[in-house]
Formats: sequence, structure tokens, C-alpha cells
Amino acid sequence: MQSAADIVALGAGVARGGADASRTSPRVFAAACVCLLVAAAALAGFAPLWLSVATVFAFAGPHNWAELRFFITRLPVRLGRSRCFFALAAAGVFGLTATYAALALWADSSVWGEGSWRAAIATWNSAAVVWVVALVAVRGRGRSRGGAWVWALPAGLALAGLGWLVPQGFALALVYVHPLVALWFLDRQLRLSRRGWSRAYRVCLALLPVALLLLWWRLAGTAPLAEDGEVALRVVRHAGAGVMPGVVSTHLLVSTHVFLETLHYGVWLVGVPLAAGVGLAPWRASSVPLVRHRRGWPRLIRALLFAGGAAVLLLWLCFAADYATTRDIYFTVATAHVLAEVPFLLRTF
Amino acid sequence: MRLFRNFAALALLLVAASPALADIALPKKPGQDPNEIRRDLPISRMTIERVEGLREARLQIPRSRLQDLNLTAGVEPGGAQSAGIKSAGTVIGGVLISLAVVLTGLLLVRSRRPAKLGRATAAAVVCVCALGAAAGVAYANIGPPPGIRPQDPGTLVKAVKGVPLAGSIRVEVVDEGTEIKLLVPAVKSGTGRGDEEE
Repeated sequence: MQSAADIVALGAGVARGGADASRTSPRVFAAACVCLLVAAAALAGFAPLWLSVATVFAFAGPHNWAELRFFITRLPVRLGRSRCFFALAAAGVFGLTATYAALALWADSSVWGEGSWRAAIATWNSAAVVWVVALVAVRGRGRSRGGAWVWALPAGLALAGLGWLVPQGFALALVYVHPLVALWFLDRQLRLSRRGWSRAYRVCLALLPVALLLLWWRLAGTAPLAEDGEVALRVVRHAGAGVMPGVVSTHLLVSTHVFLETLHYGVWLVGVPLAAGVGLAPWRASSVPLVRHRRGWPRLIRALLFAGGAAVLLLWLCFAADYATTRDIYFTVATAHVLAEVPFLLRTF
Repeated sequence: MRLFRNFAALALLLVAASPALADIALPKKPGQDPNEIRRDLPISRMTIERVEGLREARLQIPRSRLQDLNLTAGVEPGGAQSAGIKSAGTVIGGVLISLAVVLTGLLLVRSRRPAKLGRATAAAVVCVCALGAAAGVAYANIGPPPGIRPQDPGTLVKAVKGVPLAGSIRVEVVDEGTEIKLLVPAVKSGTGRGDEEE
């Protein structure tokens, strides 16, 4: 039912906004992907700090809005048997984000010692893993051929175990894996709406490890980045330099982080809207099933999208006023969109 | 019944393996052999300076070095409680990973699609072995990082010739620098105790 609604929605989107995109050949699409990949890798290698500041400033807000729009498009008009799944998803997103923000606040106030801090992070990691496993279980049990979900239990136990052994490493892994999830979303969307591009896209995806290896090979022996000023300190810290001090060059870390982030922004701002058929007019809410359907909530959805747009403007103003502090707050609150991707990714299977 | 037989075989294997493992010698404690390079200890540069006008010898340890030394000694900023929580975390992590392994085994045994799962398991094992082999080859061929190479004592060897030098010192923690310094009072020739010993 949901898939049918999606396809109808996507079809409407193609007719309105994506007519030109639908005629683009897979080769042009692949060439654009390769250009983006190479340009992002080159810029990330040569000017990581500059690229990180610029991309987060320009694209962090808009990409969150694009994700919000995509997720709203994927919401069914009637929750039906998925009510439990979405309730669990919402509870997890809000609960885990709130606790993560609280942990970030406590981290700055020297209330806890090193051991207590590790335990708190590990507990949060375990809670996140339990939430994902619960979502997989609920989703799996609702499907006719849903026996495979039980494999999420040992995988979840192993992940939770790793989360206790290396708590901050687990959090750092989330930072680096999250951009790759966007690539997965784009793959699923292409399979749904533009099968012609799907193969070309997968070939491009195979170039990603090559680009990463080249980046690491070139930057492995480079000197650490000069951490002059608050902004540079934040960029280096957000890339995980504090978690592995002296293990790898901060230049390599920041380059890798910003390269993946740039791809992530590119996918959400260009790739997914093109693939979903909303093309260059994602603000048109008429293709969203919850707006078009007679039992939908058009006013609420339009208001939500408008509020999201206002939040993007506010974020830009805050970045312009105090980039370092806003970046800190953004990277804490952005946990919400990282977590929100999980239930919607599960819904694509 | 089949499940029971599998578990019985596993238990037998573990029982048989435990005395074998129990006979393995414990790893040698570091520091027993004077020729051994103690790769487990932190590294620092040290200088011995003769300071005019200094009344007593002083060992200056930079604060950053002292933190490293504390970590080596197992002293964390949070104290013993931190160490306890950390080891509890290790125990919880180990238990969870063990449970994951056991559960994976149970699911594999109970699976109704042995052929498909067999292929998947074989593929996973091959991947893990390949990664392990690749990592082994990679790490076996690279030189040791600077931290574990033998440290060059430089001209410090000239400080002591034959007879050990001894005396009282003040230990001082300083904020600047990264080098450990032993400051020795400069004694005019013919009046110092150092000369009396010679």
C-alpha cells in the first residue's frame, strides 16, 4: 500500500518538476556523479578546513529540510498496522536526541569523571542499538516473509558490545557511516523511480572506496592541520581528532569527514530530489501524498515545510553571527536527522 | 536432539581445550631482562643541565609528561572509580559480544536453510580471513612507529662513567616544555662535594 502511494507520488512529481531530468541519459547522470566525487575529493584534500566551513554553512540547513520533505513524502496517509513502528520511531528519535543533547551539555560541565562519561556514552550507544533492533523486529514481524529479522539480535548485541568496549569509537563510526546512508537512500530511490540510472549509479559508487583510498594514501603522512582559532578547533574536533589523538593526521581526518559530508549534502540536495522526480522545485508540496490525499493534512504539512524553511534561514543567520557556537549546537541537534533516517531506511525494504 | 548433540560436542571441545590452554606459559613480565626495550613505557627527552647559582638539584617534569606518566601508572583524572567503571565497561562489552556469538551459533544451528546460510557463512568467514590476512601483511611490512623504536640516549651516556651518581633532588612539575630536565647546581671547582668524591 505504501509503495503504491509512493510510486503515485513520485509519478506526480515527475510530471510536474522532473520532466527534464527523466530524459537525462544514465551516462550524463554518471558523469555528473563522477565529477561531484572527484571535485569533492580534490577540494577535501587540498582545503579541508575551508570546505568544511563553507559546506556546513551553506548546505547543513537545506539538506535537513530536503530530508524532512523526503520523509514526509514517505509517510503513509493512514498508519494502519505501521502505527506501532512509527510510534517507536518517533519515541526513539526524540528520546535519543534529547539524551544526546543532555550528554553534550554535561560533557562541558566537569560533573562527571572520565569513567562515568564513558559509561554514559556507552549506555546511549546501547540504547540506540536497542532502538534500531526493536524497529527491525517490529518491521520484520509485520511482513509475511519476516523471519530474517532475528539476525538483527546478534548483530545488535555485537554492536552494543563494541559500544561498551570503545564508546567514543562507536560514536565516531556513526559520524563517518551516516554520510554513507544517504548513498543507500539514493540507491533505493533510483531502484524505485529511475531504474535506468541505477546501474550507472552503482558503478559510480564503486569509485568511492578508490577515492577514499587515494585520499588516505596522499594524506597519511601530512602534517596536522593548524588549529588556529575557534572555528578550526571545532572542525578538527567534529572530525574526531579528540577520539584518536596522534593516531592519524588531523588533515586526513578532516578531509575524509568533509569529503563524505559533501557527498551526503549532494545526495540529499540534488540526487534524491532528482531521482524522486521533484527536480528543481522541491518546495512544491503538491506531490506529497499527505497533501494531495483527501484524508491527508495539507495545512499541517505545508506549515511544517514552511517552519523548516524558516529554521534554515535562522541557522544561516546564527552561522553568520557565531559560526563556532552554532556549529557545535548544530552537530548536537543534527543527531535527530541521523536517527530519523533509520526508520525510513528500514521502510525501503 | 540434534541441537543437544551440537552443544554437547562444543562443551566437550571446550573441556578438552581448557587443560591444553592451562599449560601454556604466561607471557613474560616486562622489565626482567635489562637488554629488553620497554615498549610499554612512555617516551620523553631528558637533559641534564648545570645551573649556576642553583642551591639544590631539581628534576623538572612538564605537566603534559606527568599526565602520560599517570596514565602509565593507571592513575586517571577521575581516580580509582574511573578505572572501575572502565573495567566494568570492558566486562559488559565482552559479555554482549559473547552473547552475540552464541546467539549467532544458535540461529545458524536452528536455521532451516542450511545450504544458503552455509554459503553466506563461508563468504563471511572468507571475508574476515581475507581482511585479517591483508591486515597482517600490511602491519608486518611496515616499520615500527616512532613510539616503539629503541630510543637514542644521545649524550646522556656521558653523564655517568662507571661510578653511579647519587644525591637528593626536588621534583618539580612545570607547565612549559615537553622535556624532562635534571637541573644540577653548578659547584665551583675545588669546593664542591662532587670534587671531594673524585
